[in-house]
Amino acid sequence: MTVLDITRPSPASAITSFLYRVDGSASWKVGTAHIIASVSGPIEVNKRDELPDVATLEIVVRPDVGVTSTREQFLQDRIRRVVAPVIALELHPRTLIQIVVQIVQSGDNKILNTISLSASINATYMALLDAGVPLRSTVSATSIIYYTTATSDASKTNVLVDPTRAQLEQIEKDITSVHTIAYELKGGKIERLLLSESVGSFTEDQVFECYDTAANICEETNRTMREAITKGVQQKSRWREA
Amino acid sequence: MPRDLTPSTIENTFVLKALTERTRLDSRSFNQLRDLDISFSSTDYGVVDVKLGRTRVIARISAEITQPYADRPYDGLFIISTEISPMAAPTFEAGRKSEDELVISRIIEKSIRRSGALDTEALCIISGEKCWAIRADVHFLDHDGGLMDAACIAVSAGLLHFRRPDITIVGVGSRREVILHPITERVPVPLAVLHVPICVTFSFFDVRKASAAIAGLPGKDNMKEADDDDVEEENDSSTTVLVDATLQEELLRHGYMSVTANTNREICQIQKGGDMPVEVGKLLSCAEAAIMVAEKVTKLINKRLKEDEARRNVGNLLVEARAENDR
Repeated sequence: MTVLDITRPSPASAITSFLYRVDGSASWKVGTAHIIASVSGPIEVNKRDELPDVATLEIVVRPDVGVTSTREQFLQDRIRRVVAPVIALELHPRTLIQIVVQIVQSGDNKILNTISLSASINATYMALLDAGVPLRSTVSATSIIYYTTATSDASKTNVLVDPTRAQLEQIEKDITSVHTIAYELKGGKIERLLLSESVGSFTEDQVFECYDTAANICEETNRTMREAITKGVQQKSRWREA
Repeated sequence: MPRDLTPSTIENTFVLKALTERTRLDSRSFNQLRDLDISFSSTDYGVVDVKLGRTRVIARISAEITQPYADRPYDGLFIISTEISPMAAPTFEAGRKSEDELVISRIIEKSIRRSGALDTEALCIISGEKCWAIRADVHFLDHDGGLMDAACIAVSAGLLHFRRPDITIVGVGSRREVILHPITERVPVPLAVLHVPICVTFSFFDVRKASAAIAGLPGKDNMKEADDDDVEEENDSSTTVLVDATLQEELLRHGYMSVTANTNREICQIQKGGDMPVEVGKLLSCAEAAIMVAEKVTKLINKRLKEDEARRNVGNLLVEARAENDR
């Protein structure tokens, strides 16, 4: 499979541990998207939501503007699919792990959800790490968009990874397919595919091409996360040096 | 219950004892606000991040074109949403309005919407057909008391910062069309903000009640003598007033009053709650104090707005776009 040579348009940046009332918090910025995720847990659960052998996982997604709609329900469902297998829920039965994802700036246009989704997954994962929830492996996600250009070679497709809103607006009418991909990583290397959401019209080759591109991007994202966590831990442990 | 915010008895008595000794836990004076930080997004208009001590709130202002209400054809719409998510504190349940939320929502409504901070008539495009609907969404990220105050500052600052797309109406009569100009084509237009409401919350503590709570603890002889002589002469000394309470102080207060004021020395709204009667002189001086806080905070908002404009306006391009003459 060919691996596309993509230069990532904008680097991602992350901050952790900035909220005081929750156990873990993370802010993920990529392109024009800015997502803040918080994790509280394991904490006390309502009797009716209690599960006897595993922790209950509650994920709340709040939009940047407007009332909560089916879009947030979709995001919540996809985030759950990625994150639930990675958390060791069986270690904390009859408790609640509460995740809140606040979209500050979505980075998407009106019809797409891909950038909010991939950024939310990354933010959620970092918040889980910050909260010290037991996890089985590392997760990272990315968005890949295929679009045609109005050049003489009309069949040529181009690719954007984690685009900014300005870039999205430019290519809006020419988007052919949109892919959100999340991988599980161990030791900084791709292990398993956790999420593959593809919308639009695309070939089988394009999908596999996507998986390979996403693999490289996700490994890079993993490195970014590592740096952010290292910085966070150094910050928290600075009392040791005194 | 770990999801309950109620602090322990030890914490309560410590805070109250400190108050009887004229000390706050963060060593602020009784009428001092916490560190206030206001920052705007460098990419989007109308995104404000407000930090009041540890309390953190983000407001997002957005605009949409819609049809006005049938009974108000000359007015646009202005909606404020203040839903609190479990991110602010795990005690808040997603999808269920807590009592605090109702109070905050009502006070923000009165402070900003009902006081006419935003001129809704200026939002009319074609009367009876099209108007702007301005939406303010407040996201509460961290709860350390003063959610109302932070939210009010955030929305006020957001309304001043936000720019809506410019529009042109072409054609006449029933064939009129509204052209919406994207921000890349035409410089966006600020909203008509008539005044800047700033909310300040005062927390009341009944010193006698507080002393009674501490009485019976070991070491009470070390405590300052409650002003038994003074109580009969001046009622004032039995009421302690704190400005901008932290969450801990909020949970312990016996009463509160929220005053929203602006730099025109106008009071936009007053709400007094809790179970404690407070004598009038104290309340009036609180209102005075609120006006001073409003002036300070408005000055800070304007300062940050200027800094943000300077950052965006690199090369003075916006100056070229303005048609105003220098006066």
